[in-house]
Amino acid sequence: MPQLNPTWFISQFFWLCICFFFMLFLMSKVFIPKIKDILEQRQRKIDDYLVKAHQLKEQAEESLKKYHDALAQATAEANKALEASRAEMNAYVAKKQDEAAQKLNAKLAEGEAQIKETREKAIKEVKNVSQEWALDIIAKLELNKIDADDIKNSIKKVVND
Amino acid sequence: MSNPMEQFNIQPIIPIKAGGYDISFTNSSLFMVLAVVVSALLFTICLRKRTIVPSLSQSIPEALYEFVSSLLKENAGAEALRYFPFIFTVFLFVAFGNLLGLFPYSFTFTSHVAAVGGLSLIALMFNICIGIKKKKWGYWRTFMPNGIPLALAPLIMPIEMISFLSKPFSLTVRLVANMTVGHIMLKIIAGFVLALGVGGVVPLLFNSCIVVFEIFIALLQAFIYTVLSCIYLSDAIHSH
Repeated sequence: MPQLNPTWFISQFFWLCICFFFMLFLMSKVFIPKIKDILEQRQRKIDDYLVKAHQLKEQAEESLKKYHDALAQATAEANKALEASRAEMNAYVAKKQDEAAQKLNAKLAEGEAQIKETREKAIKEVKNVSQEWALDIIAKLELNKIDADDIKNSIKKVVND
Repeated sequence: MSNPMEQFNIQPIIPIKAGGYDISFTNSSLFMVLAVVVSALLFTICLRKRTIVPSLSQSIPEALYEFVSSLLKENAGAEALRYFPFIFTVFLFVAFGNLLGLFPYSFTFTSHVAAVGGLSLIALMFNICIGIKKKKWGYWRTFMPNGIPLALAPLIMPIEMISFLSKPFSLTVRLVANMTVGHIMLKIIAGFVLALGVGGVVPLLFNSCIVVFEIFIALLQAFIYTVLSCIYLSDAIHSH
C-alpha cells in the first residue's frame, strides 16, 4: 500500500505543517475576523431593532393606557352629564306637573264655585217659583186666611230642611 | 484494468533535499497547497462584499463558521471558543482535502497515513499544550481518574496513556480507511465502464451515484474528525 510507504512520510509531514499552519494563519488573521465582524454587526443591528421594538411596544402600551384612561374619563363625564340631564328633566317634569295640578285645582275651584252659585241661584228660583205657585194655589183655593208671610216661612223651613 | 491502488502513489514534482531528509514537493503536497488555495479563494470571493443581510455567497462562510462554532460549543463548552480558529482550520483542511480528491486524476492526501497522522499529531500536541497551560502539573492527573486508589496507579496510568495516545491513531485510521475504500471502489467500478463497452453505462450510472455518496462521506468524515477533535480538546480543557 502506497499509504504505508515511509519514503514520503517526512515530505508529507513537512508540507502538511506548512500548509496547515499557513491556512491557520489565514483563517485566524484574515477570514475569521471578517466573518466575526459581520456577524457582530448583524447581532448589534438585531439588538438595536429589538430595543427599538421594545420601546415601540412600550409606547404602544402607554398609548393604549392613555386611550383607556381617556375613554374611562369620557364615559364618566358622559354619565355625569346624563345624570344632570335626567335630574333637570325630572325637575322640569315635576314643575310642569305642579303647574298642571295648580291649574286643574283652580279650574276645579272655579267649577265648584260655579256649581255652588248655580245651585244657590236654582234654590232661589225654586223659592220664588214655589212662593208664586203657593200664592196662586191659595188665591185659587181662596185661602185668604193664610198670610203670605206664613207661606214664606213655611217654604223657607221646607227648603232649609 | 489498472491497479486501483495506483491512485495513491506519491509522485515527486519538485525534488527537495534538506539536512539529509527528502522534503520533495509531491502530488500530495500539491493537493495540500490546493486545499489551502481553494479554501482561501472561496472565502475571499464569498466575503468580498459583506452586507448585514447576507447574499447567497456570503452565507456559505457564515454558515460554515456558525456550524463549526456551535459544534465546538456543544462538545467542548463556550470556554473552548478561543481555540475556534484551530478547529475551524482542521475542519476546512480535511473537508477540502476529501472533496478535492473526488475530482478525476486528482490526489486524496487525506487517504495517506502520514498526512492525516501528522494532522492528528498536531491536534494532539495542541491539546497537550492547552492542557499543560491551563492545569500546569495538574494536567498529569488526566492519566489518573478521580476516585482511583493510589495503589492502582501503576496499572491505571499506562492504560490511560495508551487510551490517550490511541486517540490520534483512531482519528487517523478512521479517516484514512474511509477515504481509501471509497476511492478504491470508485476506481474499480470506473474500470468496468471501459471493460464492458456499451454495457458500461450501468457501472457509469452506479459510479455517478457513488460519487454523490462519496461527497457526502467526504463531508461526514470531516465532520466526525472535527467532532472528535472538539471532544479531545474538551478533555484537555476540563477536568477528568
